[in-house]
Amino acid sequence: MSLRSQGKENMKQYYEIKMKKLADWLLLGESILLTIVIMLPVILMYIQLFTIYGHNTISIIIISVIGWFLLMLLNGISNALQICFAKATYNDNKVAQQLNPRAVFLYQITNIGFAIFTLIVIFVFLILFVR
Amino acid sequence: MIAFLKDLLNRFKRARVVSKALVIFSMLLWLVLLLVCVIKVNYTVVTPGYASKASERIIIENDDFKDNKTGQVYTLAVYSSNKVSIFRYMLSSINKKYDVSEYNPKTDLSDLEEQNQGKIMMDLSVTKSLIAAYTEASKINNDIKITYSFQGMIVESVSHTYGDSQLMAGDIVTHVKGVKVESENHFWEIFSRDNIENNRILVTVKRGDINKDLNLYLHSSDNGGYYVGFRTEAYYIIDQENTYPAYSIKPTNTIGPSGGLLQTLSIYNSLLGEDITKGKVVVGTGTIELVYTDDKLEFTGGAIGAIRQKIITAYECNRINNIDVFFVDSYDYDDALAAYNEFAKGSFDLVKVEKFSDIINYFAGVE
Repeated sequence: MSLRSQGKENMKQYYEIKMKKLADWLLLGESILLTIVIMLPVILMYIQLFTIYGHNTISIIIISVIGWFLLMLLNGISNALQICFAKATYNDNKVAQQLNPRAVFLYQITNIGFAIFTLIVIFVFLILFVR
Repeated sequence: MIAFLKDLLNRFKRARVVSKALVIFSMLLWLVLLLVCVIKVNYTVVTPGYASKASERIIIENDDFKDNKTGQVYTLAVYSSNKVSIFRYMLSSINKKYDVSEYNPKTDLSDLEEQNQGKIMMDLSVTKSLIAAYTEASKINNDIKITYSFQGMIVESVSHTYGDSQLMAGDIVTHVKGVKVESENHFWEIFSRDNIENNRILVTVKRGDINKDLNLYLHSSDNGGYYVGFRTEAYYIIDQENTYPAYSIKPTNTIGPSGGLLQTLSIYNSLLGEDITKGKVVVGTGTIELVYTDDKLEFTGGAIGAIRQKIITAYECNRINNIDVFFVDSYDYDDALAAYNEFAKGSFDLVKVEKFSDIINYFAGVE
């Protein structure tokens, strides 16, 4: 089984772990928060890049593609962290301990569903907000 | 998260020296990158902006004029930011299309002051465009008329170095030493040495609904004169009830007066039955000024800022809009030509405009 397939399988296993809804949301929130903290310089750089080069059509397309990759990366990091948090929180849960954050990271940065969703979001954003 | 971070800390303690060094280096790198994005430096960055249709701002409402063509007339806007981050400064410095200049927070206007000044100038520019376009159009169609009156001199901004803090942007100077200001020329006649005593001059300003007397302090200049200390220009109000056809003004985020000339062209075109631009895609820049010479009113193009960026903006918009002609006021023509030759040569015609009538004459000669 490839690492990506393992990641996909791990995500299914993670969702099958019986956690309290609140605990699940907390892990999700914490993972997003830590992802933003870790990636803050990159996010700020991206925003400033957009502000500076956002006037040119070709630049906008290039920056949007970079933004798309960045969102995929953020998704990968956030999901991998969520798995790490779950492993640390539920250290007596056998299923949780078998999850591989690296595999989840690889699966999520190449998640086709999320890629299509973010592409649509970026497209709508460009149509609505960029002159 | 806390359990995970504790675990991470324990693993860090047990890690090899090389791994520890790598982690510390990564954290330092993270901090440096963050600071580069957050710490601001005293520079102003001006970048190319966008073109927007001049007819979107002012709409001629009357049914008799609704089928008239506004033409494809675009005004150009640029982006300007004071006190940019180190990262933004570095990115802008390496791009020859961007202008980077030093910004002095003590002497230069703040962002908010520039916003206020730009908004006042924009509103005034719309008024002057309407006056110019209606007046010129009334020479062709007698039904078109506009009634307006001079209200005083509006304060657009107050200098940090030489200004008197009693004045505020938006104040309208109505009297100087008790004498009612009748026109812009009259203001400069009475706002003179004759009325300045001990570096002070008495002015009456209208601030909202309140009239205030201010005894302004004027700093002496090296040549024996005085610094005015504030930026001002004539303030007019249009009597909409005695103006035909009716018009409406749409709100906009754009500020500044540099679209005045093109705005005037768009309104003028909307007032006439034929499209004088003959289907051409027209962009340009320059303020519209009401100049009285020997009691004769003329509409001229005034100086603007960031002409280089506007030429680049037009060039970049040209890929989509196929611009035919770029009108530029005579004050900025030389700089515009230099930028045109550097970035946009052959992309469109660059035409120098001294008076608004030069634009009308240009199209009269177009087949």
